[in-house]
Amino acid sequence: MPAGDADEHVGGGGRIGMGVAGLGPAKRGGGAADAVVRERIPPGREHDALAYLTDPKQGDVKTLTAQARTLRKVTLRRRWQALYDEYWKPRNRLQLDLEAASPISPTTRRRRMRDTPRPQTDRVAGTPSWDAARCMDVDMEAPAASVAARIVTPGSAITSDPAFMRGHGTFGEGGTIYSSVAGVVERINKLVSVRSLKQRYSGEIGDIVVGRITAVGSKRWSVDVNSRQDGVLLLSSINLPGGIQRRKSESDELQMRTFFAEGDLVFAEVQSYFVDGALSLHTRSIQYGKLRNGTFVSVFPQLVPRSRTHFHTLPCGVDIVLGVNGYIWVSKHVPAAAVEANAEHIYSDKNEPIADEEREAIARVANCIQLLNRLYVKITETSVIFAYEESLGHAAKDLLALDTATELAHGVAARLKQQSE
Amino acid sequence: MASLILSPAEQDYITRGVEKGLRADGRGGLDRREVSLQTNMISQANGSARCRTGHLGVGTDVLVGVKAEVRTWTAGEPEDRGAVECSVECSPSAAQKFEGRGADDLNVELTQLLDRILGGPQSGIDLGALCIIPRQAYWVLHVDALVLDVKGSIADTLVWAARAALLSTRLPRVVVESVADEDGNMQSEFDVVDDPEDQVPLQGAEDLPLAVTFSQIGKRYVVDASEQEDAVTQARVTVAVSPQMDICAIQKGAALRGFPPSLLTEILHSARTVAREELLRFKDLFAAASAKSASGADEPSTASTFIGTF
Amino acid sequence: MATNIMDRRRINGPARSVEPLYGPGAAGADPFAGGRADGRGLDQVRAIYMKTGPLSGGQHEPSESAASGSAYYEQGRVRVSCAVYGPRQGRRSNARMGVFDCEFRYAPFACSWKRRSHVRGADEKEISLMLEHAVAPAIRLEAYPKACIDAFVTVIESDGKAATIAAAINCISAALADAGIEMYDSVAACSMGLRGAQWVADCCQAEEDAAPCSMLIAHMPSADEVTYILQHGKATPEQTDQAVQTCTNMCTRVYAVICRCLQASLE
Repeated sequence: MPAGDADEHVGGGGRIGMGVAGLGPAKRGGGAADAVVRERIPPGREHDALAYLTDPKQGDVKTLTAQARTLRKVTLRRRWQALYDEYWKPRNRLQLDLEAASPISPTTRRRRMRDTPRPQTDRVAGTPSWDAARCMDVDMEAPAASVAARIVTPGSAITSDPAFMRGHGTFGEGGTIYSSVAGVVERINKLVSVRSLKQRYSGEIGDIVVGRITAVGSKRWSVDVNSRQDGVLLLSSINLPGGIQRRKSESDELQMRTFFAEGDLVFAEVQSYFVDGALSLHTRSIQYGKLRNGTFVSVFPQLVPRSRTHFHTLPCGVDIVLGVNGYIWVSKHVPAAAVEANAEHIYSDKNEPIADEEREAIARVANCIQLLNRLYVKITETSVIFAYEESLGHAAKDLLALDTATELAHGVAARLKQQSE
Repeated sequence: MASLILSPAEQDYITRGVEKGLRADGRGGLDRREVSLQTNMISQANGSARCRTGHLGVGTDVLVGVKAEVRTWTAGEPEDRGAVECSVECSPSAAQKFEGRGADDLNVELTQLLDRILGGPQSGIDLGALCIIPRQAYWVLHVDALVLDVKGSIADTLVWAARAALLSTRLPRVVVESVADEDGNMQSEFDVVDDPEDQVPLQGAEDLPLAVTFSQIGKRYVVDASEQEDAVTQARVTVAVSPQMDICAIQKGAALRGFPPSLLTEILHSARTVAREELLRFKDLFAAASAKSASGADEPSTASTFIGTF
Repeated sequence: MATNIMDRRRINGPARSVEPLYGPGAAGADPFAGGRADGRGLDQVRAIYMKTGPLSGGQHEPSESAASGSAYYEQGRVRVSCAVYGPRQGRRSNARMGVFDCEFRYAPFACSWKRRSHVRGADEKEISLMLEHAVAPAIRLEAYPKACIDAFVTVIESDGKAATIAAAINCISAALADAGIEMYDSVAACSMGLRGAQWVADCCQAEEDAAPCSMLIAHMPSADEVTYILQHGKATPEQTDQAVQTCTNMCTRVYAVICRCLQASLE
């Protein structure tokens, strides 16, 4: 940290830095009187000094007037500096400093900006400057700190401690980590990240997702996976009918719509990324493939946690596929043996006959999931079962009506709490 | 409308569910979703309402404002009556497909539907009372609707909101007096009373109709189709029914199929049954909404109150 | 394209008019009870004249601008012409089904009260939509994936709005048939107006202005589907029921006329 800066900005105590470099009084002249004022009059006492200096009884009027004039200047400058410190962003200040310091080329200046640490207030010394005051205390242990205290908005400084690494939802500038989204600060060891309340799904290899085919291309399908771009399902990464080990042939390329057409829902796993970040999916397992016999529910993707299994058979005889991307498929239970027996029909569009009770159960589960979504509760097998059991006293169609939903909400909350204890 | 593409399996599931009378969200054929209503929240308008069809604060959302204007009579217009003019705009914030000119067709369709229901003597509004001085000046009621969110069943929500807005409309009182001009001829002149307390409700607004939209899916039909059901709807017909159980307008939409005449007759019959319940429901909700707006309590809407209770 | 439609000189008045066929039961009610201005019965439709292929391209060599099919339709003083293009590569294509687009225009001199402007009005847009909704159910759109079928309707003279729309629907279905487009059935449309407690078929402008309620129905008699229904104005449910019944029957009669004309044009 340059010595001058230390003097001006980090002065500690009550002293407010006076000179923006280059505008410093010494450089402008003003001479001895100025120096006297600068050294002798403590900040905050300017008024007293002024009263003293402008009092004609105090002696040599000429000197006094000169001193008073300087004093006024200094006072104004100090006040301005205080405002400046309070409101201006530190990064602007840095730039001003550098510009004023020397006639350097913009490139050099930019490089120097990058390399020079920003004149930060030393947190140990504890002087609250604009920056430090807004810095989050990431050292707080996550559970102990209330969530409200950890909420940040885009551009809030989180920490300037170089020990931390910046994660998702943050950006670094001049050694400080800022938040780039509105959300909650999270810290895992030395990694600081900000999780926003709503976000699109960002895939990871091995995720189980549910997607909807949006386009059929040559040897590939585009799949909407609720992500920032469509996922890709290659013809080579699906199970072809008539034996898992069969090689794809040209006739397969010509009849791609017989496997998946626009609008179809697929149950797939993320296999890898493409260079541009698009997800590559595969359905090479007997349980993956086309979804039938049920209904589709879309929820916030962050509500579906990654877990060992995403395909659940609920006790009420309903299968659910919890896609990590927030797409959920609720369907009639089909025994695994039957699925394997019908391996030839994996691309069938026909539903099996569904009895009225099964339909009712599916509708109930779908409504329960919607309810959990609105309540912003994690959607897992357990929470769905809880909601389902709580809902049994009501008709399936009434679950989302305000009164019933409120009642259910309390029930589910109580049971989830009980379980966590 | 059918921008949402469903898989054949989903279409089949929905269609068969409708035919069995048990829809994908557990409702029966003639069950409606929850409706919430709010009135008089636009202070600049003579009357306003916001109606939402859907559960837990998610659903089709329509905002209607009624503005009254005095218009000078010109030759060719009806001599002794006022006018109601409607316009509907689907906001691009409702759906991506409404961006640019994407909503044009839907806007035209809904505007004409609303016009057909409200824009004439069939609406029940006393248009004669909107006339200030025959052959000189009359009131024009501009009913402007903004569709803020779309989750199926736009037409019904639109008419609900328009009805509530017109019911909450208050017109400034007008004083008409006869003045003699230079030639000694008697001339009528009018003065709009500029007092917010001295306003009169619309005459005949209680007779406004409500609309019920039936969507034919498979061999049966449903009311208040959800977004997914809209995507498999083959034909749609909107029937406006007045509190006297008269049919005020019928309009068909959706270009995929037609109705067998027997089904159409059945629809016209159930339109009355549904409308009777709807009108009762409307009455309750409207009373609650106006009480709330009159008490000045600025309660948050369903979504926030609901989340708040948890 | 536009010049083709506006080329009205090719249409030389009706050479032959065909009366709608009346069933024996139709004359049961006293037909002249109210007495109509033109002496028609209450359920009598104005004389229909129809001709397919009046616009170039029908019989001649197909060229870029030629319509695939066209028709001219006259019902009393209502005169409508329609040109159908397609199926052709469309702007908005759908991989599963074809698209049917319709554009409805009044000629500037079509209406009796004032000249219409060249700018497409809101009512024209609305009627375009109505026609799409009324006619599209008849077309086998799934037979034309990715294709677009356009119909351009010009009203040369209008006499009663509902009657004009009905005429436009009839005209389009004739033009579609002329273009050889696959259809389930022809659509026949008919309008009625309420006079007192009685329904009067096919109202002219003066009658329509006096009617508190008008009803328009488009019907496919063979497929037995009502493809369009529009009621403007207030009626009791019984009256509405009655109107649906009568109007549907009348559509069947109009249908017979259309079919006969089409057959004649094929011969």
